[in-house]
Amino acid sequence: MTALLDIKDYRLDIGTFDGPVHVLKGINLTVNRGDTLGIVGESGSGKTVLVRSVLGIGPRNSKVVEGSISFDGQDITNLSEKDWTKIRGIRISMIFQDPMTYLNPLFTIGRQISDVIAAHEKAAGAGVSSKSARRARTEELLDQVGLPNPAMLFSQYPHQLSGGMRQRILIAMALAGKPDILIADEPTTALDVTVQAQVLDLINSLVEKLNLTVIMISHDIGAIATVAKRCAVMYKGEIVEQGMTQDILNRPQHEYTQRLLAAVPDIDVAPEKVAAEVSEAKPAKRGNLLEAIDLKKVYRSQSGADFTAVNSISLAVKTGEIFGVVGESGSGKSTLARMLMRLIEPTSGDIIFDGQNISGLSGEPLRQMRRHMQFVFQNPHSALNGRHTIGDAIGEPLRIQTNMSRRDIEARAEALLDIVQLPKMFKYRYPHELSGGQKQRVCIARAIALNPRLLILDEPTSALDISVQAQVLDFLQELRSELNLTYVFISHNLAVIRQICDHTIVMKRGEIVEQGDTEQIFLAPREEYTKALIESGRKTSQAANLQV
Amino acid sequence: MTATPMTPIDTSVEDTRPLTFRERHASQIRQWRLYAHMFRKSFSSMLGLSLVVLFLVLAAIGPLIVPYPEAASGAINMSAKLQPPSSTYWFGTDEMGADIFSRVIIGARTSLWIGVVITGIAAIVGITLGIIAGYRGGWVRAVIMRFTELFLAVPGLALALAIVAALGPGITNCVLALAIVWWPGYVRLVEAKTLSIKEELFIESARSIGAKTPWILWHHILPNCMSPIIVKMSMDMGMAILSAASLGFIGLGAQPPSPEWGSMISVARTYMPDWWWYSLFPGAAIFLTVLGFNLLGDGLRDILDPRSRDR
Repeated sequence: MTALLDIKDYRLDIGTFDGPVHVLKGINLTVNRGDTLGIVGESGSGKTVLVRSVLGIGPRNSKVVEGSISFDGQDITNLSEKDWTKIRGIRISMIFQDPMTYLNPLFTIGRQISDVIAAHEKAAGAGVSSKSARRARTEELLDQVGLPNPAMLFSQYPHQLSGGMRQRILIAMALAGKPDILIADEPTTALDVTVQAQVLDLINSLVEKLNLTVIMISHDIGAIATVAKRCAVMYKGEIVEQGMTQDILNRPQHEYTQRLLAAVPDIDVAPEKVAAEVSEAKPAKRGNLLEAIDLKKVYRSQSGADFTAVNSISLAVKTGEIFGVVGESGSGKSTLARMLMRLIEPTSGDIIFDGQNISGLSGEPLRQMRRHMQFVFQNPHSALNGRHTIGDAIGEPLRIQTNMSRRDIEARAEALLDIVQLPKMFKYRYPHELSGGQKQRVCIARAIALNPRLLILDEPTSALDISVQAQVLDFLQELRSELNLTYVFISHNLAVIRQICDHTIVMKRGEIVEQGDTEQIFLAPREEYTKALIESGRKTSQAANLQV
Repeated sequence: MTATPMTPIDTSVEDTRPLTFRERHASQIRQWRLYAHMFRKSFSSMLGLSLVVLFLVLAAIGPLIVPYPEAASGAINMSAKLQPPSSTYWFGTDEMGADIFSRVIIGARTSLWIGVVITGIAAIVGITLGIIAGYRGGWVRAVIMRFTELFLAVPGLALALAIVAALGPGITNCVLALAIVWWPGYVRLVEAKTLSIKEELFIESARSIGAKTPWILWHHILPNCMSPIIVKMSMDMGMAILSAASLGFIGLGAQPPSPEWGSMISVARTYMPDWWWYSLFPGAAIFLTVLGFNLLGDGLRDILDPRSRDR
């Protein structure tokens, strides 16, 4: 039997202003019918370009230098647009990363899936079936992907559904043409932990039920391990390692794979904390640095209904500790963090920073207070002004808050670049020239420029690759002991929280469901919600999959 | 993954020697070379640029190179009136015997002055109001925007006409009137842009380090608004010149014998079609200038708009 998909020595260049960039360098990959293949790699490794080429939707200005892709015995490297319509969506289909943006908000779910069915029928040459037949088929598909009440869903709009449901709908759409190969491009990245586990389960069950061939791309090796039997590791446009997933997880051969695996934080391992050193260093001053009392934020929607984003939260952050906040998206963690910084006005409640109530401050005193607490944002790509050089970005807080001369600011910016372990010449660069991890370091440098006492970190690693995440986390811990900082660390990733936090609160729908010592929460969760959260976190964790 | 593949920065270089100018500004140099590269690829942009450069050169040195400089100040030479184009009078002569070629070339300076002043005043007023309206929101925005819409609701040229009629004809009043009706477009543009930029994370980031509002407006919002403003200004240069010529044509702008293209056509109108060259050449000058600025604006939009920048 010949392979269903056979990629031979495939090389792809993208032409840019700076000359061609070699995106794929000699890829060899075969996928047999019934296979589940995972492709792991960090952003920029070329994995998405590779699978998009399989579907004939590679980037513009790209040129195949060498090699070929054949599908079911047919060479599809240089297919005409007309021939592609017989393959795309029908024999090979794809689900995308972000379910929020791939559905048209103006049409009902039923309409969108029916249209896909009609398009496939047209492409196949047969006449388009009747509306009711298509409706029946749509409902069957919705049922197949485990959505309850397909008849009602048929006439609903995308905005009425949650992220997980939308991803299921995209999967249903991809299955509409009864494809031989299903390509999933980071299908879980944009979803919450609990939803991630469900979607992965769904893909697994579909593979079994429909005898699908699946190619799944992810930077999350845990997700790959749940679905894929075979696995390929991509690094800088090359496949550095491929084989059975279990073998790769247990005995990684290539140096990059080893690095990648070591970087994955493990939810089931208690970390050796540096806490001992901290309590020894200054036992005298262990007062509360930041306190929130009965903090509340109510948003009023245009229809007049109230929405409580954060409901009566009280918390106390001790000097020198790392305070974790965990919760799924929509649980109000970011709103809480911004209220602590006074970036959002609380509806009611008090915030006490170092013994001073700051909830009533405004104007100059508020500006002065901002020196002492700083914020590191989730997305380093948009937290820096694209028109400022890195040097300007780091020097900005100094220019605003101090009377330092330009020369002193330059010198301080260089010193800060040194602290965050970036070369001095970065001063002259622009944000778009830096990688995600480097940008996040710049954001941190900017945040510590004024020697603050408290850093609030809002998912500082969620926009970064796993190997980079590990570096940033290590670096944050180093920095804390060097500069005597207190952190409030917000994350949806439980493994990361367990790795670094001393004290943790678990949030759900704007309320604290559980709080206490981090280890205690992980070893003996009291609430059902916490248990469920940890359980789904474990599912995509690497350790659980090693034992399969 | 459609992310731009960037030239990787060499992180290994870390020596102590002071960097050269070229090294310090490598990023800017690359950016400008990219702009130049994209601009050169488009024929229409290059045509627009050449026309604008030609226009600017003529405006700068025109009075020095024309064969009959006295033609601009209303010299009368009745022996040579209404001559057709020839080697002595390239564009022919008018009813006073003045050389049309000289008058058209010298008129470039007047037109440039008109264009710059109108778009300049309009941009300064419009950007200030727009950025305030967009950033402050609430009733400030409501007042500014309703006032702007009031101006937008009246046809611009008709309003300018009324203002000139009230102030009395003349080139200064004409420019003033056009500037008064020109700013609302900038308010609209800048307000919309500000509304989207102020939601960006880096604005919140600036607030979190304690930046005051003027600082944020000047350092963060304005630089990010600049691309559409530059595009609009370059296109408006052409439109402002055309509008001033229109006012001149109906006799409310520059007064003869001052060499303004619009008022030249206004006089020439009565000599059509037998003395066709009289109105053709000033008309062609207006046409080419407006075309040049519009093509330039189009080209600038293509290189400055990030959506069209796929590399």
